[in-house]
Amino acid sequence: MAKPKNVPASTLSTGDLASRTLILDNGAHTIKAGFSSHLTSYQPTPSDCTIIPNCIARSTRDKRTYIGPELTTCLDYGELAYRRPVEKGYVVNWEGEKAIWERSFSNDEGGLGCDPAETNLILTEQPNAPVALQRWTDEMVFEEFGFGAYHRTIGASLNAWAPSPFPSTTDSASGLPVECLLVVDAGYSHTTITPLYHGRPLHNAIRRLDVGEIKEDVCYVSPSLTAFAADLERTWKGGRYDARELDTTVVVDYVLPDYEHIKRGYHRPHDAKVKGGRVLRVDEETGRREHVVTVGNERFTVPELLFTPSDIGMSQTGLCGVILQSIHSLPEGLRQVFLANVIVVGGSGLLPGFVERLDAELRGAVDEDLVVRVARAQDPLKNSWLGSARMAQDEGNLRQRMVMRGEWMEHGEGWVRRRFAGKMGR
Amino acid sequence: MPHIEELPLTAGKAAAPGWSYVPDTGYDPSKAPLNPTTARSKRKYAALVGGDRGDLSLRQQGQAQKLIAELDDDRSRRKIEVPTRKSAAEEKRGARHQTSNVARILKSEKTFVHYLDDEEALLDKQPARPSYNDETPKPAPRASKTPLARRKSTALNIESSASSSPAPAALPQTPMGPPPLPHHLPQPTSKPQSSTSTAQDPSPYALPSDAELEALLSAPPLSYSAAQSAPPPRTDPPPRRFCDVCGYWGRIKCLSCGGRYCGLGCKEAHLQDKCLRWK
Repeated sequence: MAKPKNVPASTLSTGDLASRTLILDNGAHTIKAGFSSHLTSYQPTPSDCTIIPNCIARSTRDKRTYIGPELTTCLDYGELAYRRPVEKGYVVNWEGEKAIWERSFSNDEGGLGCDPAETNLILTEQPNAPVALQRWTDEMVFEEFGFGAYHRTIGASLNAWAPSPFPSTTDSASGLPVECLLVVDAGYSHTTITPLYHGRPLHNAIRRLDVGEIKEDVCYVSPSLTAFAADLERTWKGGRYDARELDTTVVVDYVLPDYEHIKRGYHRPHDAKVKGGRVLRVDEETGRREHVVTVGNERFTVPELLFTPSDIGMSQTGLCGVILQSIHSLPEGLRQVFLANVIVVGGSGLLPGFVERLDAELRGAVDEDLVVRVARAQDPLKNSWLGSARMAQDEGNLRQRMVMRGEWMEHGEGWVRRRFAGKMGR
Repeated sequence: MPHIEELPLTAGKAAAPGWSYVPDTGYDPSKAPLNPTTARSKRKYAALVGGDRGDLSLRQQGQAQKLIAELDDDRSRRKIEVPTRKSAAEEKRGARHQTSNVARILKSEKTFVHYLDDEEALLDKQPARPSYNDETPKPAPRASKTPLARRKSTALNIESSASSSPAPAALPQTPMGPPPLPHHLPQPTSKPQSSTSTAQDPSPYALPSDAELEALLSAPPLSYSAAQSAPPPRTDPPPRRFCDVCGYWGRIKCLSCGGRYCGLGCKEAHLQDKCLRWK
């Protein structure tokens, strides 16, 4: 399709929505991307969503640069240098992000095969973004990529349309949001608390905890503070004159992948013969050399940071405290409603013991007559995407939210930003 | 005789009383070291004057910040060149003229910290963020950077502003068109659903009225720093310390540098590698 220069790339006239909607849940670690259409009645499922690493990686071993989806084809993760365009949850480096998006949209292997001119876009961002970054995002989407219609929203607010993980809540029909939801998004950059009312965020009560990025597969969360102390005891080597046995259920040896035989690390109970922290030894069974790292109290002290950031000297309250801060900034009548609908999404939500610990702490911190329900979304990584896909099924929703390229050209970026913040009606 | 008077240079210098209230921390001057030179005596002095909870000195706070920044840094190196190859989409579009804005965005080397600083400078200059509600005539107070939970007046402000929001005028067609409060929710009293009623409900668990909810929903977003979690309250237990070497409880504090360790084995490791006594 040859286009003359200086003509906007969109083939849509103002007021037309394309048939497909691309939903990009743009995270700092990965992009969750997939299509949804308001013209079919197909119910989107998590399998429609592809997870694309949101980084550009350069491998010095095979001298290749992997952009976005290409990273999954990389065989050797050793000595990879990463470059992440998203900092603290916001796209800061558009040069890199543009490359990743273009690669993701292309028809090549691993790409989505998306033509921006014929697709609507729903893009997520983190709350409390600096205004300049929002402006740049709008500019890039319309000018550089040429999407015809676009909606930018806070990622957490899309969870209101996803199927509810609470067993007692009836599933709402596809186009309607859950009434009240308190979203705890424990992601890569930070953890945000967002109360939503009918899918709209209550801005005064959005809080952020700057602890994120806990994705190791040996980590878990201690069930409570006393259990934390007990765990710490079990992983102690003892004093000089009081050597203790390490409890092998907690202390594990993590075998590092060497990408020849072992593609991904795994862990096994600690072997007392492995001395010291990190060791290169010959595995007895297989006779191969392997790097082994003994992981002891790091398994739970690291996730403990989510609940007690003061452990490393951060002067912020932990997750339970910040949820309470968020709730206390709302009028009293709303507090019970939000406490009863706490949903955990995001990568760190997958840690074993996370939900139980949060539930126990919240339960202990609020009055007895308040109901507290905490649940993890069925698929914490893709939940926002799923909610957005279901929301986009309803044409009414799309028409209310989408901003057309023509409108952007006519009214300017300030108007568009106010629209996305929900200030003006159609 | 010409009238001569001294004009005050500073406007707000009211008559100062010459005394003021000072928190009583139990400071005993006889116990304070005369000239704190070693780290140990400095710590003693700091403990006497200020934090009995082991508040960190400025230097320790700086160290903690550095440590956190180091942990925070995900080492994403910007030196990796982005290979510019014409993707299929670009070829399809043909060579398109890039607007100057876009070119500027792509070339910009700013990091997030720059944007944050710009945002805060903007907040300082203006009274408030670009006002979304054109109906508010008076300039809003300067957007504070203190996390909301730290502000003493937060709870009161939100309650009062929510209940006295200018109901009819500021609420045109509801923007996103959520359904009005669904009828199956138990209404506490049989008051009409008009937005003019701002009477306080007798029961504390009653839902706020439509008007209050609308006011909440249309509040502008907070700035990045205002939304951050507040420091833990003073009544919380003091922060837990861990051994710098192995991660167990840091029960013993090094006399020279203040670093923590758990026992004799870790003490040796600390003295060899980590002790900062010469710094």
